[in-house]
Amino acid sequence: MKPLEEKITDFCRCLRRFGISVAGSEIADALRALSLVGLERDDVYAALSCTLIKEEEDRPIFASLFQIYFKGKSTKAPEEDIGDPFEDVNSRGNDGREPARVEAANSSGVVSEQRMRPGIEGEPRVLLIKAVKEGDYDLLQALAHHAVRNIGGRRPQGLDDARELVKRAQIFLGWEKAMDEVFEGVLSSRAIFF
Amino acid sequence: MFSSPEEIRSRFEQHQFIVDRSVSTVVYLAIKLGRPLLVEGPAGVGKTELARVLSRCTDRELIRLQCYEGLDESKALYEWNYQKQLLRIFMDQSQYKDWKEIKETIYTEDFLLRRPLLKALMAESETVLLIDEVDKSDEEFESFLLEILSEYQISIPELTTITARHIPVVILTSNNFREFGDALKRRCVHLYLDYPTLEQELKIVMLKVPGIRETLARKIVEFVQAIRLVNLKKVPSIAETLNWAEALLELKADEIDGEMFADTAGVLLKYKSDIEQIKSSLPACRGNG
Repeated sequence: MKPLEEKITDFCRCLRRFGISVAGSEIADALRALSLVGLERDDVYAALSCTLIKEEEDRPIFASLFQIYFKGKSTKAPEEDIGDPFEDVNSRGNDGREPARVEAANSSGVVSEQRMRPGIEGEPRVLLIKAVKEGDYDLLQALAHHAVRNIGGRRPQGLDDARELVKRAQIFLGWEKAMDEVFEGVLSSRAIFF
Repeated sequence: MFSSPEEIRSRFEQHQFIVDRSVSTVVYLAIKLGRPLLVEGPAGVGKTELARVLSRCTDRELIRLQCYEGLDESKALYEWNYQKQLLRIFMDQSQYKDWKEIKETIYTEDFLLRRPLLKALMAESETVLLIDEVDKSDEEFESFLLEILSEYQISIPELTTITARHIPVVILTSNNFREFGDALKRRCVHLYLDYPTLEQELKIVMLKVPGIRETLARKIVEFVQAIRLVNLKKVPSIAETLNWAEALLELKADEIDGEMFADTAGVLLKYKSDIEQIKSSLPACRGNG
């Protein structure tokens, strides 16, 4: 899969995790929409929200997830043609030009990994899986603490909804992939964890 | 039809319809993707107007289907004109050899009453099809609509199968009166049209109320924007802002104080309790010393 497609699919899986149902046809629409409007951040926002979000009450969740998944770049006038919008959005131009004006956060959905404080080592997602599988409550607590610390800096104005904070923390932890892996484990081993 | 969202924005503006870039982008995408555009939002923000303006600035005929509870295929798609068929049979009574012959005479396009959906499918040129307040129709109608909007084809058993010559630009509006089905929503591109921002509404007032000074217009819009945040029975729409601006212009107002508001409140607010609520929060007379 091309990086942008992968990014969008991943984004949609994340939307589903938060209770927003997204159909395959809607993902296809979203990708077609992006190919029509290009990758300027506001246009990407409009294209994704109009094809993926059909219930008004889902919009706040979409907005916060979008902020996390698509790091903002200035929306100033384009200096040059952005070329094929399906180009690798993660590879910053080898030829010195900016490949796209929306830069995707890395595909695991973990944005602030580098901000992990010393003390806990490894990717939060891996630790989360470990903690759930082993029932390690101390580790869970430490992770939660780190997740909460890491959402502080990314708080958009007017965010006072605890639910949204929880979402942010989950995204920091790579919650969705971790849960996938945990559930896959459950299915393959037929063991019951919960 | 349009080569970019920006073109939509500027063509709309020529028709005195102010939208921001995100709205024009969504409209552009609906057209380009060939998807129906579902427009939701509070009453009076211009959902229906959007369809009208789109038809005007593309020179396409606007075909409108107003939805209501109990709307069925015979009112939305087609029905046979029974009276006319009967008259025809009576007229030529003696000439028919058998029922087959009668059938061939009376089930023809001459006796077909075309309702909006059929009109849109049979149109000779491209059209804009507005399906207004789709949330007021019932579920059976909704699934029927979904079928039409997927196939753009219907079958009239006595006559033939009709396939749209031109896929219309379809705009559905909803006030969220009733939650309607996922399947229909999934087919649509979704646009949430909200009340305009202060600057947008100011632009609208300046455009549509000729002769108004910007200082007054700004005061009016600021006032309306502020009371939209109050929990009212009926929040003023853009049309009501415009009516109020016209009234204040007529009265040569230059300040909106308690007295001026009391004199004109009925133009802006439609419920007595709303008027009382706003009045009580205003200083009786501002700035007159």
